[in-house]
This record gives sequence, C-alpha cells and structure tokens, in this order.
Amino acid sequence: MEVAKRQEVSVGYALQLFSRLAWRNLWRHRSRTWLLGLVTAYATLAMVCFWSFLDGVFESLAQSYAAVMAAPVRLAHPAWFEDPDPENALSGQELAQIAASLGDGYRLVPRLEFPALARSGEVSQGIMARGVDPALEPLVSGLPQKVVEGGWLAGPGQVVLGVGLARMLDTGLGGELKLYTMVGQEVSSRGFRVVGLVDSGLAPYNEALLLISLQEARALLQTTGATQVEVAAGRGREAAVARAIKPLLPLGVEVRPVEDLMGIMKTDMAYHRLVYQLMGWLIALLVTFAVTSTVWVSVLERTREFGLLAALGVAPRSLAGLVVLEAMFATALGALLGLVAAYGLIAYLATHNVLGPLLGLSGEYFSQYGLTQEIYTAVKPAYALYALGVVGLAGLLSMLLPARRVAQLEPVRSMRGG
Amino acid sequence: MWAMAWRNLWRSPARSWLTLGVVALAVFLSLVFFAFSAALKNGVFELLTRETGHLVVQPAGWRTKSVGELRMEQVAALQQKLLAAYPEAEVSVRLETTALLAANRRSRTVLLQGLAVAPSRAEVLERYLSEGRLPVAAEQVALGRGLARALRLEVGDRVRASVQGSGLYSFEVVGLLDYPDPAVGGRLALLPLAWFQQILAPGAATRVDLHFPWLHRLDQAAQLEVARERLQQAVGQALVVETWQQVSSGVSEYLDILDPYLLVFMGLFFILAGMLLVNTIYLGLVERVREFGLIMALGASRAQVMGLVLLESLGLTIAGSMVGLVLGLALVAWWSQGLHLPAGYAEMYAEFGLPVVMYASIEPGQVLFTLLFSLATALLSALWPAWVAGRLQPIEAMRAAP
Repeated sequence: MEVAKRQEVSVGYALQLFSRLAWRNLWRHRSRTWLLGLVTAYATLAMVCFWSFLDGVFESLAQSYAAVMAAPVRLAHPAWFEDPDPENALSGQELAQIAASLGDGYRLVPRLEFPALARSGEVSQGIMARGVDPALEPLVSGLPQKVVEGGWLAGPGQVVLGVGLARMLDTGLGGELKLYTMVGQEVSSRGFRVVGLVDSGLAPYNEALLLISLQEARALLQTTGATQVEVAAGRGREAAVARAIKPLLPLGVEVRPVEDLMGIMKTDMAYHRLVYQLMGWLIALLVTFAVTSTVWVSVLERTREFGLLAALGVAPRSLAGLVVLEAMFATALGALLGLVAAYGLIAYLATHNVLGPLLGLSGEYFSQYGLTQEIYTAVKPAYALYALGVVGLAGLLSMLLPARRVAQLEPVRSMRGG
Repeated sequence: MWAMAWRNLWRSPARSWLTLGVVALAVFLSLVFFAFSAALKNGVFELLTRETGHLVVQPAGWRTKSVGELRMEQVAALQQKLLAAYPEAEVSVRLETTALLAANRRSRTVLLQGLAVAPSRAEVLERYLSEGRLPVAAEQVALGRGLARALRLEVGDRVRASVQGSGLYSFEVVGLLDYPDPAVGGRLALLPLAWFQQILAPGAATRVDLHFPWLHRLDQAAQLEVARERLQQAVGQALVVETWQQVSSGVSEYLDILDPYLLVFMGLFFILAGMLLVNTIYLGLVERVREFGLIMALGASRAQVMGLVLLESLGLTIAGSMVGLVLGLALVAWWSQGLHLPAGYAEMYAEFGLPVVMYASIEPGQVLFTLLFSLATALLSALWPAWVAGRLQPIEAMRAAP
C-alpha cells in the first residue's frame, strides 16, 4: 500500500519532470523546434488549403452559374422543369401558399419567363423573355450588376437587353421595341423602351436576353402567377437551403438547387472533384512522410545527447517518453499554428477574389458557360479534421521508431556518436 | 578533402542513409505527382475522344456545308483502305442528315444518324441507353431522352419522319438514350446504318471515325500525326483526315482547364517537398557546427569547411536523386501501360462513365525540374549551417549548441 503510493508519487513527479525537461529542450534547440513546427504547420496548412480550394472552386462556379444563368435555389412545378412553358407556371394562389409556408426566413424572388417575339423596326427575333421584380432581382441574380450601358429597370415600359440581342435587333439605348406573345389563341403585345444593356459574359446568352418588369410580364400574359420562384442562398449553401425548404413546400411544387439546374456541368464538376480527390491522397502521403522524417532526423542527430542522459542514469524507457513528449509538443504546436494560419488564409480568400485573376480562369471553357473569374475558397470545420487526422497519424508514426531506437540505446556507443 | 567527405558519410551511416532516403523519396514522389497529373489529363483525353474518335475522315470542305450535305460514296472500299494501313484500328461509320420528326401534334428538327460502331466500341453507346434497346432492324429508331420528352414519345410508340431528299417514313421507337450533353440528347435520332443507307444513299457515309487501341496518352500526339498523314495519302484529295483536336478545337480547350488546378496543387506539393529536404539536410548538419569548429581550429579555412559540407551534401543529394529517379521512372513506365484505380474509386468512376484505367506519362522538362529543384534546395540548406560555422570563431563554434 505504502509502496504503491510512493510509486504513484514518483510517477507523477517523473511525468512532471519530463514534461518540464521536454518543454525546456524545445526552447534550448530553437532552430530545430522551429523547423519541426514549421513543417507540421505547413503540412497542416497545405491539407486545409487543398480541400478548401477544391470545394471553393466548385462552389464559386455554381455560384456564378446561378447568378447569370439560373438561380441559387429554384421552386417550380415539376412539369415546368420538364417543359419550361408558361402553361406550366405557378398560379398567384400557389405563390401566396409558397410564401405562407416558407415564412419570413427565406428571400423569395418570383420570375415569369415566356417565349416572345421582340420586334424593333423591321427586325424581329424570337427570344425567351424574363419578367423580374426590379427591386428583388439583385438578391438572386448578378445581371443587375452587369449592366454595361444605361441602367437597371426602374419604371413602367422599360426593357433591358443583352448586348448581343440589341445588336441583332439593330437597336440601342432609348430604342423602341415591341414584344408579342401568344395567350391562348390570341396575340398579346406591348411596347417598351430600351433603358439598359447587359453583358452576361456569355455571347450566345447575350443574344437571347430580354428583361422586363414582372408586373408588365404578368399584364402581357394576363396572369398573376410566375413560372418560378427563386430563393436566395449563399455560396455553397444552395443544396442545404433546398433540403431545408423541401419539407415545407405545398404539394405539387418542386425545389432544385443550382447543381440540379446546371445540366452537363454538374457531371463535369463531379468528375473533376473525383479526379482531384486522388491528388489529395498524394499530398496526404507527402505530409505523412514530411512530418515523420522530420521527427526522425531530429531524434537521430541527438543520439549523443541521449547517450549522456542514459549514462546519467535516466532509464531508456523514460528517455523514450521524453522524446515522444518533445515531438508531441512540437507537432501539436505546429499543427495549431498551421490551423490558425490556414483558416486565416482561407477566410481571407473566401471574401477576396485573389485566386480568380491569379489562375486566369477566364479561359474559353469558363466563358462558354458565362462564368466569372471569381474564385473563392470554402471555409468548413471539416478541413481541420482532415488535416489533423493526417498530421496526427504522421506524428504517431514518427514516434514509434525514435522511441524504440532510444529505448535500445547503449550509452557509451551513442556518446561516441554512433 | 574527397577522402574526408567520403569518410564522414560512413561515420554516421544512419544519418547518411536517412538523408539519402529523404532525397530519393522527395524526387520519387515529385515524379509520381507529375505522372499522376498527366494520368488525369490522359483520362480526360480518353473521355473526350471516346465518341469523336482519334482520327476523323470526312469529305473535304465539310466545314463550309451543313450537316449531311456532302457524302462519301463507297464507304466499304474506304474502310478497306483504312484497315489496310492500320488493321488494328476500330472504325465507326456514320451517315447523317437533318429531318423533321413529328408525333402527338408536335414536331422537331432532328439529326438523323445512321450509325455502325466497331464491335469493340459498342459498349460506349450501350452506356447511354437508358431504356429499351439499340435499333438494329428496318424502321427502328432510338431517340435522345430530351427529344423523346419534347415529342411526348415512349418506347414502343411510332413517330413520323420527313427525311430530306428521301421521303416520309414511320419509325418505331425502340430505345431512349441518355447523352451526357442535353444539347445532343435534344436533337439526335439513331438508326441502324445499313437500313438508313438503303433509304437515303446506298453505300454512302458522312463521317468515318477511327480509334487506335494503342493510343492512350496525350504525349503520343506525334504517333497520331504520323497515322493521320499516312491515312490522308491513302484516301486521296477528295477526303480529309483530321485529328480529334482539329475537328473540334473547343474540346481540346477543355483539357486546358485542368492546368490552373494542377498548378495550385503543384505549388502546395513542392513547397512541402522542399521543406522535407531542407529539414533533413539542415538538421543533419546543424548538429555538426561544433565539429566544423574543431576542424577549423585544426587549421582548415572557412572555404574548405564549406567545400567539405558541399561535397558531402552533393554526394548524398545526387545519390538520393538517382535512386528516386530510377524508382520514379520505373513506376511511371509501369503506370504508362495502365494503372487500375483502387476498387472504391473504380466504382465511382464507372458510375460517371469515366475510364477506370489511367495511363501516366511524364515530360522531360518535368524530370529536369524535379532534379534541379531537389539539388538546389538540398545545396541551399547545406550551405547555411556551413556558412554559420565559418562565420564563428573556432572556439565559439565548438561551444555552439544547435
């Protein structure tokens, strides 16, 4: 009983002593500690940045696609998704139901899209006209910021055209044009004045882009409904918002996040993500090697010092513990620093468009989908887990060999530098 | 000094082996990284050429005419010529024209395509088949899903077709095809080639594709060009043989979008590899500052000490780089014959219709970059401790605690 207690005290004391010794050693060998910490810190940073970049690129693409071509989250009749014809529109009553069932938590932006003939002078062109609420539209669309000439819709009788369409209709700012559409068997028409030109960044899209106010679109189609209701959602949050909305929706209304509106691009993105995941494994492998070998080297070069400690009577077991403690301190410190730096960096890159211009992503491929050059990183807590998982594993691996080596140390030989 | 450097390396073999191993590892992994990047690009290449073929034979001047306006006669003879030059080539033949399809009081302008694929490539087409079967007999047609939806057709329905330059027909819808590109699925109707030739233009085709079973990598472009020239001579002036890139330049731009990502990953990767090298070499030497002090106290000059360190590190780095190079290139050579993805990934890839066997390759510039990078990093990290030692008075250096 007595003996056991004394042993307990001495174990506690030894642990305390070794912690202090390990801590002191870290500061005594500054350059080594710094290097070990730096490698761990960078390894952590590299892992976090890798996943953040990967997610961020795809989220940025989806966001810019939503802002130009579609919407972050879209509500419509299932029939409309199959066949986007105004005969499959949501009625005014259904719009009210949607607003009531979703509550105030979501910002809803109705749109009314319909096929029409735009006519200016002798030239006419078949297009898909879009009726939008001028005040609400900026919540879900990037187009109001892409007006390159004139201004955004502000009053009755106004139309905003894509630059390509204006050229094809041989008109410009201040020009008059008339819209014709079929309502049942009747032709309905209305006159407009061009107040703004929009450049979406996508040439074919610019040739079919025509925006009028929702109110006038409704008057033209003699309806109080809308073909779709768009819901605002932040970058990377589209799918989550769609999932949250789904159980709240009235019967017969379907919700789709931007990913499901992108057609072939969705497959493209899934493919690329899969491909780059393999790259992530390769980086994880290098991280493991880097951390492990750094700890190994820092132990190997201190063989002489350990020999001395062993000669002074420190048991090999305790010495091994000392080594492990030191490595643990340094890697933990490095990992912590790395995490702080990494999250600082990706938080900055998530709000500042540095990567877009840097990578020159304005290449033809992206512009053919009308995508912007804005690339932001994603910030998720999971990246810390990935990074710490790999670094932690490497740390464990790196402690096995040196600790064994130290435990089998022969004092005299190692003091000679063997 | 050579002898001393050599002896020093063997004085602490564990340290030397570790340094050598780390350099070898860094070089090896860098080569693997490059090979892997190339394998990804080659995978995309395979994906892109799966439908277009590696080489395409079309009537000269096809670019300036609308689809199906120009035809090649006696395609069987043409096929013989192509196969005489490359018996291993997989040849697919297409006969295309535009037509008006009508059903359920709706009508659409479509691309009617009579298609006979090489038996070894039939699997690609079958992957798109989402319902029913592929057309094999007279009056059978398979429609893109988008087109079927627009005409409100299902498998088993009949559809009327007004074929330009031929007449009116009635087809039975036997299958639906899910093309990855909705623009294709919205306007393509597929017929068996033989029957379509009978009603439209006996023995004729608008396009012949060739796949070479040996072509897996982008760095085989030169071989492809040789094949193109040879076939161009074989088929004569009336026809034009073009590579997949020449036929659709937009497709090859698709490959370029991989580069920015790979650049970012390369940056992350090489900084890490560099740190690995710096650490190992620097830490291995910093411990010896004391020893350098002793050598200087015995009369060696600073230059001599730096020379000694340089020689040692150079020897280790070069040896390590060579080991890494040999191992890395061996692995690349092995992967260039095809790398099977691990089971979990292979399943996911197959789900997307992606190639599950990847073909690696590496460019000489990348090998050179890797070697120079490891050499430069290793030398810089070796010089620093030597310089520190040289700057100190021998007595200080001997007292130095790293």
